[in-house]
Amino acid sequence: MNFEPDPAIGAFRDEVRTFLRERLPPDMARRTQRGYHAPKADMVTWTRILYAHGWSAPHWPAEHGGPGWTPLQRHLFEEECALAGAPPTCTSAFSLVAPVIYTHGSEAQKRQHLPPILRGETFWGQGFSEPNAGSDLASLKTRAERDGDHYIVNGQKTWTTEGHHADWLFCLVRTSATEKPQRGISFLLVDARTPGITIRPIISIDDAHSLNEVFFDNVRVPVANRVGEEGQGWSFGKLLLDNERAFSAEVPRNKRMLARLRTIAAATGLDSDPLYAQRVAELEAELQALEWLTLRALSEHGTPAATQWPAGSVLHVLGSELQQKTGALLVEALGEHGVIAYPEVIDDVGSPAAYPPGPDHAPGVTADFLYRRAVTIYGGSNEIQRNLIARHLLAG
Amino acid sequence: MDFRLSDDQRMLQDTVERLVVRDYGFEQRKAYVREPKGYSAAVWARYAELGLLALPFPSAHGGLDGGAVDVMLVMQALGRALPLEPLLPTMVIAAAALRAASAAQLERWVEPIATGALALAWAHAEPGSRYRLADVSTRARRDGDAYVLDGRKSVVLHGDCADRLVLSARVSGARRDRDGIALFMLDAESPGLARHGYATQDGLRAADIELDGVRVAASEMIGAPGAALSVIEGVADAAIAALAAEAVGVMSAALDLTVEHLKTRHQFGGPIGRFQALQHRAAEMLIALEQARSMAQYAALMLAEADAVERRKALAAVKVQIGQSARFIGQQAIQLHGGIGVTDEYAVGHCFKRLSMIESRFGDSAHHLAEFARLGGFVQVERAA
Amino acid sequence: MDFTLTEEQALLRDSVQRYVEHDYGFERRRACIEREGGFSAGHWAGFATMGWLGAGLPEAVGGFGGGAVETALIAEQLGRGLVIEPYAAVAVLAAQTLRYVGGDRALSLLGEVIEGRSLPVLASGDEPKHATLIAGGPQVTHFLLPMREANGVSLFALRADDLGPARIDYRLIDGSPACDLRLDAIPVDRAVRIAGPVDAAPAIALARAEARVALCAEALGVMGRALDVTREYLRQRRQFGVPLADFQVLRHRLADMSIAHEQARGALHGALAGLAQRDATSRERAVAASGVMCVRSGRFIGAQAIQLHGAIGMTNEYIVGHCFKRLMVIERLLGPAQQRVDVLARCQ
Repeated sequence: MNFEPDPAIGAFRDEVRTFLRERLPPDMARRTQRGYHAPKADMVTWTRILYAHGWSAPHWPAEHGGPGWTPLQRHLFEEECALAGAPPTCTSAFSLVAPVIYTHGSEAQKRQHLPPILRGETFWGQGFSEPNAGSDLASLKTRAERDGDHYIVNGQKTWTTEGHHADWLFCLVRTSATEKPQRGISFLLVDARTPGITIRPIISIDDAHSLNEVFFDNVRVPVANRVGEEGQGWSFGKLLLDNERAFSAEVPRNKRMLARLRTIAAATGLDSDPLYAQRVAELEAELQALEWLTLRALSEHGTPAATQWPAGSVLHVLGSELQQKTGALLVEALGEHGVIAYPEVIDDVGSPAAYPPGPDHAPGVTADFLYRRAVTIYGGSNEIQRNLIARHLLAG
Repeated sequence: MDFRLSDDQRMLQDTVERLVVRDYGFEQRKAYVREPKGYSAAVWARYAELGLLALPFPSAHGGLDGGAVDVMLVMQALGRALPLEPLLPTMVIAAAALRAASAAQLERWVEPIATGALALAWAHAEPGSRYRLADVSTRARRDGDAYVLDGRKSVVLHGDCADRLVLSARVSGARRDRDGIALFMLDAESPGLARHGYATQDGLRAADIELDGVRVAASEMIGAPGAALSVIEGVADAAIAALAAEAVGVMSAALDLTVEHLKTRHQFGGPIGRFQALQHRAAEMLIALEQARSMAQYAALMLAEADAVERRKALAAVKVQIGQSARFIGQQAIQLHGGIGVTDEYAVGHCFKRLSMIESRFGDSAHHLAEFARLGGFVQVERAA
Repeated sequence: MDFTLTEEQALLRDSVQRYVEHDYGFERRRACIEREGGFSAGHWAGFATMGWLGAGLPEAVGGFGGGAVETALIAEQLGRGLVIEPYAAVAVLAAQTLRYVGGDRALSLLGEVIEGRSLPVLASGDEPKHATLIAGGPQVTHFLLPMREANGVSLFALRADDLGPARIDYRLIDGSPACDLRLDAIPVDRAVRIAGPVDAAPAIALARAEARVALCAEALGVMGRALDVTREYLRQRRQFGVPLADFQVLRHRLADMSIAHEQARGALHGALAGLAQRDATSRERAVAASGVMCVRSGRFIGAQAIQLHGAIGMTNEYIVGHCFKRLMVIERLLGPAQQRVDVLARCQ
């Protein structure tokens, strides 16, 4: 055990920083840093820029287009991108469905879907939750009935992030009624333009449109679009939710938020207030622990040591709660501007006149804070995460 | 960076874990408390045998060149036992202090430390100094080839029966000046030195020390006169890192006891571990433990940081996190045990008390949080794209 | 000291509660925000008719003989309904300012407030050049402006129509309208002296204290609504084959929300008692303490209400997100956190 940083890491970081400095468009970074949901155009443009450099899929195996980085390199890349204000790429595509496809998909599915995702040509949405199946996802009811070489899908999915931008959806559907509900679930890839699909926007409390309901009304989906066998869907879904990608994202997000907090506190003079400085210090100390937990988890991922503690759940709980605490301090730092509604100005080129009155750093802070009420809810709520941690503790 | 243990590290950890299991059960510990020194002479001898006391000292003088990670592993493993011995001052603090020592001094003192013949105590804090490292009123007046010491030291852990005191006194300057402090390896039986011993909350012993015209040879001053503050700061840093590791050990014992209790204690027709609220509480204890474990690892790295301000910030952040985790785990461990949690016969209350003591050693969380904030924290201002 | 309500107080509370339940539903509120600028003249006229705008004012100034308790009762019920009309800003802060400065002009304007004909707001803040976050919007009729003169602070009134570009309107995150005033751009020559050459500062301080308490009471109502909605949801919503209310952690969370609610109520009672004190320091301390507890409880209850609802708490179509946002606004209107803590520390 030794904690000295690897000598090569500094050079890697520099390489990434240079790339970001040269290739991340400044107006795109400014938009991202505001904290509104990234516009699709920004995500797609950025994906293409990354693709041209071979970096659009840092977590994928090299054989499918990944750059062949170590977990630590991936983590640092995420961090540098977050700090520089790079928009996300399509998470549903790159981090959620792609690993399922390249691990369990047919060759045809891999050929059809992976290259376009890699190039930023296709956008994906997740069809998992339903109005009556949230934490209890296994009780989902959207059904897929076999009709020759098609399934006929009927039902409703909800909370589909960026579903209105999606070219494709990946869905958990019920293909058979079984005693144990998990066993009757299959994983389907659905072309979003298939007749019978209706997408309805859900406006979230940040007054933005990111979430959607998706209705399936006799939607015909080729059986060839099923990943793996019938009844395997649940295990693929779990694979996706357990993915290391989820917990390694916490530190970059939190670092960016804290950096923003520091900037705003400096701009408003709040950083000279000792009480405020202490509250920021507390968050920074927490972030330090989170970072070291993440480094440990990354180094243990896939080894026997990983079973010693439930890293994914611990990091999810800590990372999400830290985001919320930091967000609250950010809103406070804005003073009265923290409660003014700043609707997003789509063509934000940095002109303050476009927004309601306030400092240039204000727009987006509160919207981001409001949307982040969801980070302790999605991906397995923190209550569920604590159930999982307790199960680990009390087992055996 | 590698989180896996090397073979040597694994062996070291296994050795200490075996000692804890074989010789340091809670009932055994109760007996040790009643021994004359308040700890077991046999266990102390065992530490010496296993090389634990020699661990961080330079091999040229009989040590084992152990690093911060080695110390961390030992303190973490021993922490589970809530150890009574003066390991922190004798091994960790002395090694840090003696970095400023001359070769002759190392020749003289490392060997008896390593054999267990020399038990030490750290005598720096004074009434009213309240965690301020430069706050020293005890005076050392030069007199020929000796110094004469006058003053008082308070809550010197293990001070009641230590053989020597690593003690600070001021050769020049005003009470809170950074310059003018000196460190001595003082014979605790020196004429003019009175010690009033007492028990501490967590079952250890401490003493208040009065120095009235105590003579100490100039050859027993460690490092240059008046320049000791940087050494003292290094001592505090090393102590914080070691205490962080010890706290992780205590907390992990507290968590294990609690989990065991949840599985075995029956109420309302079944083990109480089936109540979701208690499950979640245990989950939160695990989260707090892992945060502390990670910060103890971070401390081990940052002890080697050359930039004193960066090191200070890092260790301040460590003490803050350790304090928060310790308070939570200590309190919840008692809470989840119900009535027996507050009895003396049961280990979990002792875990809480040890954690409370650690919180107050070398600055509490509030002190370090203020320090950390004052020094500017970690995160850089957001870079422009 | 008596914690029971008089018959009249109970009737008042019940009448506001009924009004809110029957005439101020969630969809109606949404429509008001989206299509009526966040203010319904009909509702405001209703408040006037029912005497609520004068309920907290003594008869000597044209009110109906109540005080801070009546104000709190009304504010809490309005809070339960997330009523968006500016009761605290107009009927408490501005009205009590006019009441305390006294004099013919002030009391005449006050009479118009009670009848619902005028809606003045107090425009002042910490900045000398800027007054920000003034609740109100297009329906504000007058801005009350404290101005420093030789013998102290005097109170002037400026008609909203006379303001011109000195005013910038916007919305807050809870949908309510607000504005900023550039004090160096207002047409001072159009301002009418409301209170003679007398120091208005103590009056404004008293009015501010009463308004803070009214906001705490409103927050208490919002918290109560959030708590009730959450309790109902936990009973109805089923996952894993059982109602969410069966899960012990969620029950305990609800219990913690309830405790926080009671704490806030206790602090409110302390503040109401404090308002009755002649001693300014005791009064300030009680009001500040109430603010601290109100914010702490509000943050906890608001956040947990969303968390316990899961994703549905994240949508604008559902009430808990609006409770959360209103609590954020109230927190901000109570002033910066540091101020509250400072006041408390100073009052030890």
